[in-house]
Amino acid sequence: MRRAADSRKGTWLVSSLAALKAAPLLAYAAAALLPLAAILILSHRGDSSPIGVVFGRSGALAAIARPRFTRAIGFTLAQAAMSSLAALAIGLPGAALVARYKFPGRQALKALSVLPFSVPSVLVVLAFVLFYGRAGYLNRFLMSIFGLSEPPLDFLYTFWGIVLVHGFYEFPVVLQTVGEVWERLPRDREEAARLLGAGKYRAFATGLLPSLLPAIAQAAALCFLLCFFSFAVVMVFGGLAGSTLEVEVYRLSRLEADAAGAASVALVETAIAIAVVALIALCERGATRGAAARGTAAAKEAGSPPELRSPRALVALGLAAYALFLAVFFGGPMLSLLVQALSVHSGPLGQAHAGIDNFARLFSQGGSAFSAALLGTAATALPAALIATILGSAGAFAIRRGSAAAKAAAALPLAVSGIVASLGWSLLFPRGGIALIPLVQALCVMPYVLKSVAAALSTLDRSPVEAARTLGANRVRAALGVELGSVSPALLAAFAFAFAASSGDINVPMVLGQGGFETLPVYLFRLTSSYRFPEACAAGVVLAAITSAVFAFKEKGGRAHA
Amino acid sequence: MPIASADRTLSRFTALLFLCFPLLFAAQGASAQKTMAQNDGDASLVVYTYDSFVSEWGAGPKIAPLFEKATGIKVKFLSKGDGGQLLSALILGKGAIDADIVLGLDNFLAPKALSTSLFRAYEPAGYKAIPADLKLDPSKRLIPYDWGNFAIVWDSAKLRDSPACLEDLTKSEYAKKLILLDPRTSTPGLGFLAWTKAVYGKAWRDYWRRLRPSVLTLAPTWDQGYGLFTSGEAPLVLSYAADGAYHLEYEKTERYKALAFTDGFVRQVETAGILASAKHPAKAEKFMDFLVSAECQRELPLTQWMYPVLPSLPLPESYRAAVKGVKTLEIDPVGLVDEAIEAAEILSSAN
Repeated sequence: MRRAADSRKGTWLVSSLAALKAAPLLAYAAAALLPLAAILILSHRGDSSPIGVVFGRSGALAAIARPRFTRAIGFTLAQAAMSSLAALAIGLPGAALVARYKFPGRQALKALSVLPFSVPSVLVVLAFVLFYGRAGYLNRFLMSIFGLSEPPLDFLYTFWGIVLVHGFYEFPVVLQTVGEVWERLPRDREEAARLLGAGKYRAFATGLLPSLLPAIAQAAALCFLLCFFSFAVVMVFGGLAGSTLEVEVYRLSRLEADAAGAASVALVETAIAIAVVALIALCERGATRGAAARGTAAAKEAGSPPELRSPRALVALGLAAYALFLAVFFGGPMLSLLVQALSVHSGPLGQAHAGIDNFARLFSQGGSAFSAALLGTAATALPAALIATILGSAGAFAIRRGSAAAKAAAALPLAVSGIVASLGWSLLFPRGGIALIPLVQALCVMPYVLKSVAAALSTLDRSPVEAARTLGANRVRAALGVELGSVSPALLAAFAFAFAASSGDINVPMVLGQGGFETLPVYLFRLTSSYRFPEACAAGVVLAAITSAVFAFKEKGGRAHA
Repeated sequence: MPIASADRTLSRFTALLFLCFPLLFAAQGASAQKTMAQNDGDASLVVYTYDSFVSEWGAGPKIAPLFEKATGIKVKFLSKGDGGQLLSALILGKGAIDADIVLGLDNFLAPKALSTSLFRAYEPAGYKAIPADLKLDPSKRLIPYDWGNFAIVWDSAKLRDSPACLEDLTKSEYAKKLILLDPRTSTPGLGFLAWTKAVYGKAWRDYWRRLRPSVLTLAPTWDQGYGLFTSGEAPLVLSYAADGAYHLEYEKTERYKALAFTDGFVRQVETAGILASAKHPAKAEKFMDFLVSAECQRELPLTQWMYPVLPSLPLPESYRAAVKGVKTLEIDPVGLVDEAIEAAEILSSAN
């Protein structure tokens, strides 16, 4: 009886899915670009035709030709390119290590990739200032060692400061993206090349590198995009160095109330970003195809991906050096935040001593506002993550055999920057709308969910599905049951990521909540704009703890299913 | 086995999703209770303002219940970002502004706001008690409700000698010791530009060139700049003359001191006005009366960290750490926004 009902439901699903195949994707792409459309249409309301918006006398091309913007374009591209190189340099050794060796902290290293998405940039900026700043721990250490009177490291507020911060902020993306593909690559080719007499490096270059290149390019392009949109870091450290397109959109729309100018720069910015997103989609196809072909072949042979080795001799030494490097130069800033959260300033000269006063003040004085912010974070990030996971995995099934264009369209929300999105949504909903917060947040994280679920699907062995079908299960039932079951760990991981990214988001609740709704990042921002920096650090630590807890849950879930 | 687990995952997710909606309403309720304003959908008066006004420590949550108690009118504050974003929201919002009052436009943003037909004139009861030099709009469309002076704040624990005037800041001993705020994105930054213009006239550009080596960075907003300052990045920062009062009130420290420059100070005056399109003009007028009344003005020194517009009101004890008695310079805000771009470019051309 039950089975019959299920199969009827299944057939209905299949036929309607087939009919509506293109519609959801189009609706999704339209929703993704809605903020940009709103800016273009509403800010030019009646002033000019769509053609005039681009080619007119005060149109996008004319606005962009001003020296202020040509300089901004140059600076944006230069810093994003250098920053991606820095992220590659820091992340690739880590990718090699997690792909081939097992060591304590390996999972934690892979999980770092959530960091650039979940930690509000206000906090990251503060962390890097506390560590690399003129009065930061690193400078103080160097000054005491070498007996200097002035801080020796002085580049934080220059172009290279921006590159450094971006490099350490984004390297986990490289480590995770490349590490994941590398891990699944079988060693047979490399070993065959070595058997044939090739040296270690030659074996790597001929056997491995070609299969890794798409993943490396994809990671680099993603970093490029994140740095291209970088806002708080450029604003704080780049005040004297130069400004980016993102910062220009903000300045035009905010202080200069120049809607047409902001719309023009936003259009150019988004156009460049769409090109990068298309590039990411192309690379991704290459990366997953390569990995899938080789990975499933290997999996069929060995029954599982290549086993991890314990590091020995030189590798162990390299691992130790890498761990030390990350602990100091990346862990240092993060630890500084914790130290700041645990410091209490008092006395006539504001001397610091250790204590939990900042946390105590959050929970007591902040009281109801802090708990409202905690509740607000849960109430938006949880539904946002669930919607993103459910719709994102549905999307992953739908486009798994879709064209490259469909995959690029799925990644479209990535091409809309935080500032463009806030500006667009605030034009669309001038009175805000709290129920919209989770929906908009879900839309923003959906591309990442889609990507990771699709990646997990592509490495699946199809034979259990075929087996289920021959045993009488219909197509959808087979796909949902068997495949979804096998990718449950990926679903949980995607959910954890979506939750972390949504709970770290400040733009959407700020724009749609309009002061009537608080989440932790909004509360944290309020603290920093009310002189309460140590308490802001404490709130940041609470936010980080929540994010890590979700990840611990994911790891547990992942292991249970593996 | 996998089928069971997939069903479980999916049904868990869906069940959780349904559980989220009551949570969302609960969270909205919790946030609303805090601002004391949103728990009632039909609040009779809507005020557009900036972010720190509605924050927990801002004036909004303090004065909304006082106003309701005095008049029986519920007021709802909607934050549009900071002061600049507030003005942009008005200009970009054109006809679609759904508020009665706009609160938080200062003397730097006022000329642009007054060049529109957004506001209508109203003279609140008690207007006569406001000193004439604070009344920046003779047409009475924008009414001042608080004011403060911009000043350079000095970290006395990090730097032994403090500068005494703007010119001192250009000395080599202050190389990379000053945090300025970006005049393109922050009002105090714009205020500093107005300050240098008031002191140096047309030669302000030369002053900014001479100042270049002293500037560590141009922070985008006041909170970022002040954050860098209290983290010890530089011992001098552009901020407000009443900042000492904050540190004394909450940290019991007099380490951070605003400097009484011999050049004089530039003042920020914050204003509010009734929108021409207000749906509740009578209630809006009552709010304006309340805003400049002693009952409301008394709340401002410890929430806004600005001075009330009623000079007769006693100030909190901690205001002894605020710098007073410095002459006020006249400023001309017209054209300042374009010059802000130029000023920022003068500073960045060094790199």
